[in-house]
Amino acid sequence: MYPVLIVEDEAAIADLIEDTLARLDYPCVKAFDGEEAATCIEEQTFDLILLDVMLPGIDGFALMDYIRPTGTPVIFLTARSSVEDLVRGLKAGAYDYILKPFAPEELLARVDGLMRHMGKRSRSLTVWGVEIHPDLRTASRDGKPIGLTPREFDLLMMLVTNRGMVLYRDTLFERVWGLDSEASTRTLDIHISRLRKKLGWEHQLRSVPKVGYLLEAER
Amino acid sequence: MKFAAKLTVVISTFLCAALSLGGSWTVQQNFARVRQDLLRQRSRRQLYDRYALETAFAGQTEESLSILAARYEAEQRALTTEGAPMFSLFGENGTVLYSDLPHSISYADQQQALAAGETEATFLQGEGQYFLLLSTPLRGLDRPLWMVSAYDVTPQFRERDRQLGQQLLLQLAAMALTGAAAALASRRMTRPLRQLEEASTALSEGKSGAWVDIASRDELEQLGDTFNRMAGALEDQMDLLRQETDRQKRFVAAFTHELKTPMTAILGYSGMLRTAELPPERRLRAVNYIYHESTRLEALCRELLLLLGLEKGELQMEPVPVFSVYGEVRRSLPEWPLRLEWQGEQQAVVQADRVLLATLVRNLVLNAAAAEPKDNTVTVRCDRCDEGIRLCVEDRGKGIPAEELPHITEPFYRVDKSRAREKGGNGLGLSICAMIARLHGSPLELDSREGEGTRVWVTLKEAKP
Repeated sequence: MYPVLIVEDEAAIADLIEDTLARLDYPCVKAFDGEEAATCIEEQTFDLILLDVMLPGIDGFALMDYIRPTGTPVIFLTARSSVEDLVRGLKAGAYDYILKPFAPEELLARVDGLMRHMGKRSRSLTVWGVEIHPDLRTASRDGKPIGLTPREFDLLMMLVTNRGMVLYRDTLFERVWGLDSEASTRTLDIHISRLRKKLGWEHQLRSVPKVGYLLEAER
Repeated sequence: MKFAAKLTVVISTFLCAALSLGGSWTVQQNFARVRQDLLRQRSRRQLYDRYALETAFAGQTEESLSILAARYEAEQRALTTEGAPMFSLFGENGTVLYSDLPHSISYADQQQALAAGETEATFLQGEGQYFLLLSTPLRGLDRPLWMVSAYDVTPQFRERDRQLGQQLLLQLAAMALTGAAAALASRRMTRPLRQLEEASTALSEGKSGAWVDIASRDELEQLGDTFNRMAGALEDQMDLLRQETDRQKRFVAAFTHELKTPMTAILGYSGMLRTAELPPERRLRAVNYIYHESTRLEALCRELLLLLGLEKGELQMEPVPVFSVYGEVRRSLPEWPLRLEWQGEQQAVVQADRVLLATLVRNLVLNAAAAEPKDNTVTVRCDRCDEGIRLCVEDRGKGIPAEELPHITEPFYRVDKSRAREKGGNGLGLSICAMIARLHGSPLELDSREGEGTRVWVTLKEAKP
């Protein structure tokens, strides 16, 4: 497993991407300009490159010439939303693009999806004895499938991608049910207790009073 | 129809009409004289025949008239080769007493000639022959007799027809020649028009380099010159527009980038903060990024507003002592790590907007500092020159590459992007300076050498004491 190369001249955004990818244990290398990135590409192998288009020195499109021979997949990060620019990026050989500003969840989902699709990551992940297939949206324990509703699965993914951290109730509810949901946060509590039972996570999926929920990280 | 073709047709038509009119008029004129001569000769001849017949018929009976007439005719034919008389004689009530006329001259024709009287001649055409009929009464006899003489004038008429034919041939030949000449001439004359047409088409299709080369030394040459000037002006305009569009595109791209980068960071980090309880060091880092990026957005907003406000061009001009502006700038930079120096006229007073002038000097000084001067010094220099007061900010920093100079005052343009951003610049500083300078009636002038340093100056009007 090779790291992900983040080519982004803004430290704030590079750090944000690094933090986001760390949630799914993706190791990252950061390059802050085109030349630094070109050096990294020559010296190391990467599973994926996240490339900002507007870079000082060599720009993103020019960097594609260095990247193409290595066959590394590229996702463009761009603030330009004009169709010409997007087409130019895709024609240059980019696999996908992400428009700034982006939500970290979106980035994570796209990166993880691409990596699993390319076979660079296992198609499933195992947390506390439960095997989860994000593509198939299924979970199983000891080979026996566990029946989960779509909401329950979304909730599971939120917990898994943020394991080891206390998730705020309100935000968790908002992420899974959406901003304009009619349901109340009581629904969330019910779903959590059902998940606990179905997955057998009586101790691992903890409720933190007045704050939210925590899926313990595996030691 | 092409203009050249029209010209050819018009020229040929007029020429043809003139030629045919002139030609046939000449032929007809000639023929009229020939007819006149014929008439005179034949009238004389008829007179002679009349007298002869009057003499011969005197005292003879009606029955013997035809014999006498036939005899006379035979005699005369034997005597003359040309214009021998052929005649018919009529008695009262149009009775034919004698006739030796060919069949092609009908009785009606003869009656008509009789009715026309002595003075009139009648020309007749029949069976490929032309005849001249003359009529006269025979006088001095005991009964009324009329004679109609016919003369064969076919050769004369044939000659006229031949002449007309010749004329037609001549005319056709002349037509062909002049037509060809006219076609050639009009093509030559309209060549400038074709050139103009081609060039206009090229121009309307937006092709550059559309111009004509006409040396006909007439109005068309003038038109060509005017066209070339117009095409040149149009091309300049299009270039300007293209440049302006490029500039706007760059502005929008840079502005979006400038706006979306901090927004991405703010949204991302705040999203992170509100999702889960982060470890303290990560929380601090997130909060710090949010703070700094918001500050950046705020500064961007403020400077953009300033720039937009400047575009409206509202100024409060007053006499401003330059040295006091320098003092103001100095005080606004209390933790300034470099040395700020003043040189030149301390007493200079300029006509300017005090606040804007201070902004201008401050921005220039900050830019100079960003160039990392080797001697850690930024100099503000104030000189008196012909145009007024020259206010100059100098540094001995790394300078600006020559190819970057034309773009340096464009909004969001940065020579060294990552470095400038670390120092908190957002690429609007020099744009604002250029705008302030322009509002004060001066360009923002730059003189820079890479690795040696940069001088930026404006020329301000001196205030009247």
